[in-house]
Amino acid sequence: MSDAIRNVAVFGCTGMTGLATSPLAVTAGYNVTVLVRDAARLPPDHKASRVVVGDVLNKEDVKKTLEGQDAVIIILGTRNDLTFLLWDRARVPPRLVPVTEDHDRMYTVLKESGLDYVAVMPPHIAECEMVAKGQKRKLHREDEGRGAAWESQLQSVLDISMDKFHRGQALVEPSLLRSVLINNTLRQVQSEVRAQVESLSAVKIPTKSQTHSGSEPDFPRGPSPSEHNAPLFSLNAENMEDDFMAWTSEEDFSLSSAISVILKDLDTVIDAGPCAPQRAPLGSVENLTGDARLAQSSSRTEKTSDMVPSIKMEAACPGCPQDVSLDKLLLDIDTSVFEPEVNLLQGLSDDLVKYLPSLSKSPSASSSSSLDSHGQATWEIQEIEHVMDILMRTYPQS
Amino acid sequence: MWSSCWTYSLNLSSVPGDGDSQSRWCLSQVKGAVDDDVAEADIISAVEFNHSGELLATGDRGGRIVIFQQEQESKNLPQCHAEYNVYSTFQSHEPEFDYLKSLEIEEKINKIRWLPQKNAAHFLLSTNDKTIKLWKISERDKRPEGYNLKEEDGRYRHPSSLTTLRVPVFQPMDLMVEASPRRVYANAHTYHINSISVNSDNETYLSADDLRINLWHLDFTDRSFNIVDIKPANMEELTEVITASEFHPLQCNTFVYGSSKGSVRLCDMRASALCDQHSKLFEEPEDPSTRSFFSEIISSISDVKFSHSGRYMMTRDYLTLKIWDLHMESRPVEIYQVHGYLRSKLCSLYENDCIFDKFECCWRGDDSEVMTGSYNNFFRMFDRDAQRDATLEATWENGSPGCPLKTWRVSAGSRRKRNEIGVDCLDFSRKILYTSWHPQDNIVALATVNNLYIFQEKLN
Repeated sequence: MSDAIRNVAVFGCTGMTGLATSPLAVTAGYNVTVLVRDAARLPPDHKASRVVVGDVLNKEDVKKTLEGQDAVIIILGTRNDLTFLLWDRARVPPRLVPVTEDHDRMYTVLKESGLDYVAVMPPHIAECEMVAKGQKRKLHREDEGRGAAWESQLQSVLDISMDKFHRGQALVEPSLLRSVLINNTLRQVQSEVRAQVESLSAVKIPTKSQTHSGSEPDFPRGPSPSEHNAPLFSLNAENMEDDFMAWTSEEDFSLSSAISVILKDLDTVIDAGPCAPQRAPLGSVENLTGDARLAQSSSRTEKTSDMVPSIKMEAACPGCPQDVSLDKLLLDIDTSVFEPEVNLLQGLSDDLVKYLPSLSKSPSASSSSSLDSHGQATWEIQEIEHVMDILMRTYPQS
Repeated sequence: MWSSCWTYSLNLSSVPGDGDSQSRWCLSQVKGAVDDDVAEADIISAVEFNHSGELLATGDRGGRIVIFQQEQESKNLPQCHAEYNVYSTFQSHEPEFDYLKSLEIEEKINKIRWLPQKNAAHFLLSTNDKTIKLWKISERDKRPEGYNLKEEDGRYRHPSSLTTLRVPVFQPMDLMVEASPRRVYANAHTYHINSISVNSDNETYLSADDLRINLWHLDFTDRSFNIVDIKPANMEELTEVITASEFHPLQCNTFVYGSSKGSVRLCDMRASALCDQHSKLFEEPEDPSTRSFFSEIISSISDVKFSHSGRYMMTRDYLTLKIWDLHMESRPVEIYQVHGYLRSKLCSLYENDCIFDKFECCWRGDDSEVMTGSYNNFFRMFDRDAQRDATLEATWENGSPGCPLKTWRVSAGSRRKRNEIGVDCLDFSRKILYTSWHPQDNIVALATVNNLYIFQEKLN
């Protein structure tokens, strides 16, 4: 508890996040003032020291709430009528551009206000419990209890296997038994990584087709709306019943194609994790090929890695390398490196390389997001994959 | 290079033992260089007793074979130590160069297999990565003397100088052991040969490489018949290789081969000409609780050996010895943990390549015990009847020579006590990969990196 701050105003305390936040503020010892439209929506055991009834859209109500306050917590939202903000403006689908711009304007106002602020911009806040790695978890454990130890072993097995693989390739006649065993281990690691990514996407898709009562008429089919709370599509929280399956193939093609481009770039972004010592295996691929293009692309991915930390400060967005043909580059290199006879990794290695640094640790500092309490790159990557998850769920046909 | 540098005589007085910490085994002999600095070419790569146990053959990485013979006197006295002395040394394989692929073929002897003895000469098959050779080892202790046209010193005599004729006679001479290559079976294997096995019909044998098994007739070197071929049409789909193969000791139509995925297939040559379809598949379902990234690698079969009775089969994978009843494919009848304490170290062992070590295993003559090697120059003996096992060390730094070996225990951590060593203190560069058990007596021969050790069981 800060000595300078005693009285805190909370806007949006009857929302989902608000209901979680206000009690925490009270417990922390602050005097909490809340502005609500309907006092009945406050929990019966709320400990707010002052309740102001009014509307946040009303300037006078807001001023009244702010009297005598030292700090403000703004958790305003539209509940489940949400939009999705992407970071790279070039990748934002046209429909979402106005709301993105508006968000930008709001953020600029905040930045230029001269106030001492903390902005928390998570991509998604879910209803369910978060576990250590920031991985979503159902109320009952469904996963196999994999922890950081397993992750680090996955990484080291990957590194060692890639190293051995390349040494084997360098030999004129590698032992076939060794090659087969190492390749199978690499395949296993790859499938584990895939399974991990998929488990993030493995959210139940509601089969009910009923839609949220308020959102149906708001689904735009025409040009993009200008209001910030215009629901373009709904995010699927655990308790969501909104039907994003209402999105049919009549959806704007430019939107879905833009999303698919983002999805493809997400793959390369995962590739573009910040450089860590574990990236040596990828380095040896570069050495083998001596390909200037690959060296170029690796520098490009490094540039992207600088962009990655700033994901935390914005709404989640995959930083995309400028040149999406990294995939093609890797494919080219595959065929040139591997002999046809012992080409045991063909078709495997391009995917594998994509996943390679996905587990490397990020040196970037953590932001103050509550999700980021462990400040690891795995969270970051989880976030990206979560973005992917949301996009994929929303656009299942992509 | 080969010298019997250390020979211990057996201390016949009984030594009071601690019971569990003493074994019945004692060191009989150590062969090889004394110093630790051993040349690459001298590293032993094959050890095999012949069918009578009188001869012990070793092959090394330099392509040489050294055959030791048991001393005749000690053979008849059960209490005496088994003394093996050098009988014959010859160069079996030379390094070759494959011009087509532009790579060198190692001369390292991968396997030696003796043929059952049919006459005074001994025959063995030895193989490197590509070529199998049949060697005849014969003794010569007589030589003809008294030629008409040749003097004893080698000079020739002119026929015109002859006045009388005589018939040459055999006269005794110093024993000479000759090894001559009788057959060379070449150019039948694209991949590296890992096993050879002589059939019980004593006419044919098989040779197995990573993807194929060939059947040969001993008399014909220009043809062999492919009986197993697991090469996929697209090499990119290759996920499994053959690692070991053996003929059944009694049924000439049956053989088995083990794979890198931990399965053993038994094939019957009467069923079809090409035995790609197995008759039996011996595979233990994987225990999901022990699954790891290395599950497949440690399940890879490094050796498969039939019991002398032909009823059982033993497989060695990285951590265990499994004994299978040939009538039951679903799971082994006995599983012995060789060095289970390594299970937590698999990642490091993967990194330093030790996880790819191929250990051999062997049966005692009456099939009541089995033995295999481990790291730190340890070897493991498992008594199947008494369900006891022992860890012994192959070292000549013993307290008193001829004394029964003390058994060891391996503990977690890095403690080092009397006869107890921590896992972290194990020396993974000292490993016993090759072992052989005398077919009748309780004598075992095993090879460390530097030396050949011969152990005998104390009988009193």
